[in-house]
Amino acid sequence: MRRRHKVGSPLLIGAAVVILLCILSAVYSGISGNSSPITRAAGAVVRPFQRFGTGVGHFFSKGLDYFTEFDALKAENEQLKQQISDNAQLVRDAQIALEENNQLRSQLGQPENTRTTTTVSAEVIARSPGDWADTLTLDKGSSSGVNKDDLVTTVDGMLGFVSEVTDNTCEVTSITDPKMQCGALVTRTRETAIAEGDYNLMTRGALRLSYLREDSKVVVGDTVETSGRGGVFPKGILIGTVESVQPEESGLSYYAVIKPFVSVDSVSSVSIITEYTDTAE
Amino acid sequence: MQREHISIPKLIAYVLFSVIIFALQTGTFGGMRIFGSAVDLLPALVTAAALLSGPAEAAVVGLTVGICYDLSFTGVDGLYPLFFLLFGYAAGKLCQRLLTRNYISMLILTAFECVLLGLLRYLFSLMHAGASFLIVLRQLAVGTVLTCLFCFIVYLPLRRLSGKSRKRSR
Repeated sequence: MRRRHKVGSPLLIGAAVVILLCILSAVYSGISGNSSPITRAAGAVVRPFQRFGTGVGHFFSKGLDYFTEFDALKAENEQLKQQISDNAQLVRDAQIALEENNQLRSQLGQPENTRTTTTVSAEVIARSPGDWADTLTLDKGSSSGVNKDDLVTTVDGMLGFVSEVTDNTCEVTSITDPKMQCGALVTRTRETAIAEGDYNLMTRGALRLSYLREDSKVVVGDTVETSGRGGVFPKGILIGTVESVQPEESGLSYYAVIKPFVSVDSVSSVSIITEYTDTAE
Repeated sequence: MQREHISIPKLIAYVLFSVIIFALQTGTFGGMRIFGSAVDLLPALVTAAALLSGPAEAAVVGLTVGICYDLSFTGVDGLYPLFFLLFGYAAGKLCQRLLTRNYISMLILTAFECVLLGLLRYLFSLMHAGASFLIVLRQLAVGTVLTCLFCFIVYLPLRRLSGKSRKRSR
């Protein structure tokens, strides 16, 4: 007996409504640049599953690490103690230099070289699926003081910036995502440029430093940090090191490939800079 | 003449399973990469639903999967739900007429879906952003192979879910 599949008119109307909602979402999202209300509502349902899944994963990986990583952690601990001891004198010297700098600035009538930051700690609860976006979801949102465009860092350096905020979560566009762009400074040469994500470099976990001048003195191994230009991100946050310097297609300028300090794929705990004041120039 | 009924409990089970797979893929196993590519099982959910149930169920799973993609801020909202909804319905119709319900059909359909999605992504987004076609092609090839390799993770549970419903309706 041949089975016939009838599609009732309620189902057709329902499908038409859903398709219309999809198109309206696309228009809303495309114009505003924000998530549509439907996506935000779906997020409120799905996020608890992601938190639970990540929590379970962390529980088991930490348990496994207790047995497999103990010796390596112990050796690293000894090494770090030695480094702290070696660096103690450097810190004292730097403190003296800073105080002398502030005294001289005060004599010249300049404000003191100070920076204050307010940070919120957060955990990564989800990452974007697929290969063509590099975003992370964190477990803190506007209720914890997080705002759009806040810088997200780890102890190693810049991870990305907050691109979307809800009450209890936020989306972070990572440093290797093609939507990422920030003012950058080459620490050694003090050259300014733009650090931005690139589709061709994202798959190998790198980003580019664009708009280097023709007479640029950037070399492999140079450190790149945020420049603070524009006032969106604080200055001096480490981004990465230069892997190679290439001419642009036009041949008029150069760009550098940067290997970030932060490993986006493995990061789990981050700090979100919610407020900062920086009088350093 | 028989009319196929859409089982609401089965639909709810499919949607819940899709959400769980999304949570595991992006949360617990989010940082995992093989040969530089992430394993994405979400497209396989749609083809499994199309093959094992029908166009309506596949469209609903497709809508769910699309909304899951939108949650990750992967682009303009609404486009992924639209693509997966339409693909799920079309794949469901195709499965009813042409394909047999076995794992080989699952692999062929999943590979086709991944390639189609990748090409559309390149044409409407990546190409304009300056992405190299060779790099896109490489990622597409690796991603498709990985999705097909691991699609049994969603196929077997969905086959069980659809099989249970059939037993209850007898």
